[in-house]
Amino acid sequence: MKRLFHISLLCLLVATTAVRAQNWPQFRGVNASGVATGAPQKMPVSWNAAKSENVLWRTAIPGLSHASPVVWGNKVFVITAVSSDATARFNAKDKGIGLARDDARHAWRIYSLDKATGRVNWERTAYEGVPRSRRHVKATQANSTPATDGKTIVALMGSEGLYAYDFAGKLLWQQDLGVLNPGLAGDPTSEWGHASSPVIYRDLVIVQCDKHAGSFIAAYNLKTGRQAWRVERDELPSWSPPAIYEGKGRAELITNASNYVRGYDPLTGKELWRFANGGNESQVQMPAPLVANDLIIVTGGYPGNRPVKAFRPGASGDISLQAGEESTPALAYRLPRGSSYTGTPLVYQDLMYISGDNGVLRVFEAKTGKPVYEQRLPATFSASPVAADGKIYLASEDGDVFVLRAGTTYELLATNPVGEPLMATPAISGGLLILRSQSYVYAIGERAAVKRAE
Amino acid sequence: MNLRTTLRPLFFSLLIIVVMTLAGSSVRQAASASDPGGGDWPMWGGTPDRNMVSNMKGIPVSWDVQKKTNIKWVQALGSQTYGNPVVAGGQVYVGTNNEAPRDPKVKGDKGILMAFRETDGEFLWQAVTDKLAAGRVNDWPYQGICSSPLVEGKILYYVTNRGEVVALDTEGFRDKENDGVVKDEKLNGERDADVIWKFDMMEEVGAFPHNMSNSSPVSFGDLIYVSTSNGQDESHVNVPSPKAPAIIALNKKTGKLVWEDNSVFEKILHGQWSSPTVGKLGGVDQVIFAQGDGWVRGYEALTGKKLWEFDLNPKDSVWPKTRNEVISTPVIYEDKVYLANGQDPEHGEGVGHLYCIDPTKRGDITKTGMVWHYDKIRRSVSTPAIKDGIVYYPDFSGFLHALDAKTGQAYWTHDVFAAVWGSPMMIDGKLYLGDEDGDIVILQEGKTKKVIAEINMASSVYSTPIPANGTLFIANRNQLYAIAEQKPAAPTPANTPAKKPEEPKKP
Repeated sequence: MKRLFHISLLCLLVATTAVRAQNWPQFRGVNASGVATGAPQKMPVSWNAAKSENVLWRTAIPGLSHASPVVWGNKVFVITAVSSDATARFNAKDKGIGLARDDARHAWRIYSLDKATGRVNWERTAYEGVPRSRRHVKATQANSTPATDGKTIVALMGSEGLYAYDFAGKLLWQQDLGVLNPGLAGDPTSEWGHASSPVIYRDLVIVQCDKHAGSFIAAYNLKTGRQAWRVERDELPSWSPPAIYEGKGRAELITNASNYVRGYDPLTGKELWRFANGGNESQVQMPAPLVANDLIIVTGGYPGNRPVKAFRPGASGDISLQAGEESTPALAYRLPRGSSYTGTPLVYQDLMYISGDNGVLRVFEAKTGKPVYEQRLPATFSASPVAADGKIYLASEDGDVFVLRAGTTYELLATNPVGEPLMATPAISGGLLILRSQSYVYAIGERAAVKRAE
Repeated sequence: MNLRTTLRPLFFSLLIIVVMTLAGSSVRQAASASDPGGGDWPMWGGTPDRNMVSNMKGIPVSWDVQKKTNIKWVQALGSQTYGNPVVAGGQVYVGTNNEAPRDPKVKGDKGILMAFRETDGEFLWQAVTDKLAAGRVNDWPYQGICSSPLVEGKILYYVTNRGEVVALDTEGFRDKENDGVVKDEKLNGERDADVIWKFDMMEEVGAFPHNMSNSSPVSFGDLIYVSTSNGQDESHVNVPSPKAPAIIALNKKTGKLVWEDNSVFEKILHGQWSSPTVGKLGGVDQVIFAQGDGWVRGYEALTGKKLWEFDLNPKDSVWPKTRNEVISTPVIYEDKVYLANGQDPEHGEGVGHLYCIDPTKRGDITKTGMVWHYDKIRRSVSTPAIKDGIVYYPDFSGFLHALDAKTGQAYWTHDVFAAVWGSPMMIDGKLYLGDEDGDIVILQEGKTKKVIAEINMASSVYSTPIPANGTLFIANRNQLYAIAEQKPAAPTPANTPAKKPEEPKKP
């Protein structure tokens, strides 16, 4: 018996180490790449939620949230906003500008789940009250994916504040960031809900809060919550999370917003460079900047001004295109079109996958921007694609997960219906695809493969 | 997260077509008769049947906006352009906003109608309309002018963002005369518009436009017809002005109301953004107009007497999931009416329905007048091109459907991979279609699909390519391109050994 215990302990230790190699600590995982890192794990192709085939567990989470699950070790974290109005909904496929009626009391919660079983380790209520800002009918009151460094988990609950917990569920600190109310630019009554996710760099947690007035980015000490720096920005509302480029010479904090794409020093908030993005003509920036192949790829924006821009890091000052210019030395390439509106592109094995909101998947050479193929899928997308084990996973607003073989030709391996809209970007860890649907968190994987991963 | 705004009002304008019937003339036409003749493109659709067909020869199938190949000229528009260009009397007109101001005195958001010289693109004059104080419920910010004007001789008719039907002197104040009954234009410089008369639909007939007034006028004899764009208020439940007409007919000389019809009352599902069509059908001159309850209605053109009505939705459909409104403009082709339903692009994609209707029937002709029904189309805001028995009808999802006009059987579909807000234009057997990605796809007409070219315009194309006098005019979001086959550069002495005979002049 004792020996068995030792073996289990050993297994657990091994598992922890192996799994640590496949953490998914923030929006789109390690380095926000959307790609599982570490030892390759066999990933599932198809599953059947109704028959529990390849579905290891499913845990119901009350309330509404478009935030992705994050994973560290044997823990999965999710957040939610639970309305006391049981009829609270979001409209998955809405394209309008309408606002949800959210005048009921809400509870903003964070859950810690056991990755092996889906059981709830703990849940904490960060805040209770009537939302301080409204939301788009397609949004929720909990859109920002939390971030963790393996010790602290930080959740940005929109206008209700920034909260840090340890892995045992103890609240370490909280910060009121004020009302975060991005919406249709120029109409202060239009509040669509904050969505930009926090990122962690060294001992700082960094937030990008672009709204109707008083846009800012700020960094807080991960341990103490003390503000390290804060920079006010002349920016229109945006929903894009910031990204970190860690180069040989220096690190850059990249933000994507309507007026400018900017690079900052992540340790001080000092602006390093900026690139004019089109201002009023480039409203509603949502995708995160993407770092791959030593390039910073920025997408998103309003239809009609939705190029793909690949910047070389290391720029300084204003690197905007001047009138009549098609390029600038800081731009490795620029595609006039092809960007998604909502989701963040994926670079995997040197190909860039952009899943358009309208279901059109476009694939490019990531280093050059050269088109490879385009294919329409019977779907609309808000979630960003993710990849592992030579497979691309696309979760749709219609409730399907499309599994494609990565490569230069289109090959659909499976379409897996989940039965509910999938708005959140999935997480990947240790052979598991972890999905957040409207009501559940699913862990999907081949049992044998997941065991091997442990 | 996922929010999506769209510019909703935009589409309205894109949906027009031309008919071949000039006002008052008889309508029996050969398949190619939708060409306006004379080389101009003087209204949405070119002719009152709104069929997007032209016989013009020599329009290029290749150009490059970056390298300026086959680009005759390009002119800056505002930042968002939803008005489809028209060309008449040596001038090009297009509706846009004021984000690239031509007049430094005119500041802020306005509806702008610009006039350019056709030959070289020189800016001639502009009509400026203030925004309505109520804001986006009646007059969406930055959408500019969405109406495509009608030009007859020296008079231009269009609808402003304030819900006014306006007649302008095509010469503006350049002729140094203040023509018409309106003499108090505030802007009356050489580059300003000279108003002849103005009919305020909000004041005169109580219209409450939803988001944008966008109608493209059409005429018959002394009358011109427009939609009032009457619709719901911001609640999307109430119709605040249920007694306002859906369509009005004005005397085009005086601007006085001649007839009006309201058959929709509080049944308006949302707004009214289709434009009227005119043709002689079954021996009767008719004006045909699709309305806010998802029905299309035919009227005796001179009197406004309602002749027929047709429900464009299945009876068990439910707004907004399955029941649609109508944004497309009806097209007349060989005595039949072709029309698909759809929704405000802000509502996204969804199921659609396309019909061929026999407009010689009377009363509720939903059953009796249905020649065929095609349900493989998605929601559409486009107006079709119909030629040689084939209907080319795009949907908002980005699929172009080629169908047998007699039976509704599909020959082929083509996926452009992006939303289509504008309409296809058939020019000399080649179909030009723009999309939100800014691509113009050119396809060969016929029962089998053949893509000739795909050319990017550097910014979304929400409008329809317009042919006039050997040039193709395409407005993307913020620029107007004049595209024409450019002759090779004239020989220079260095490469010309001897004097060559002059090239023969084109007729």
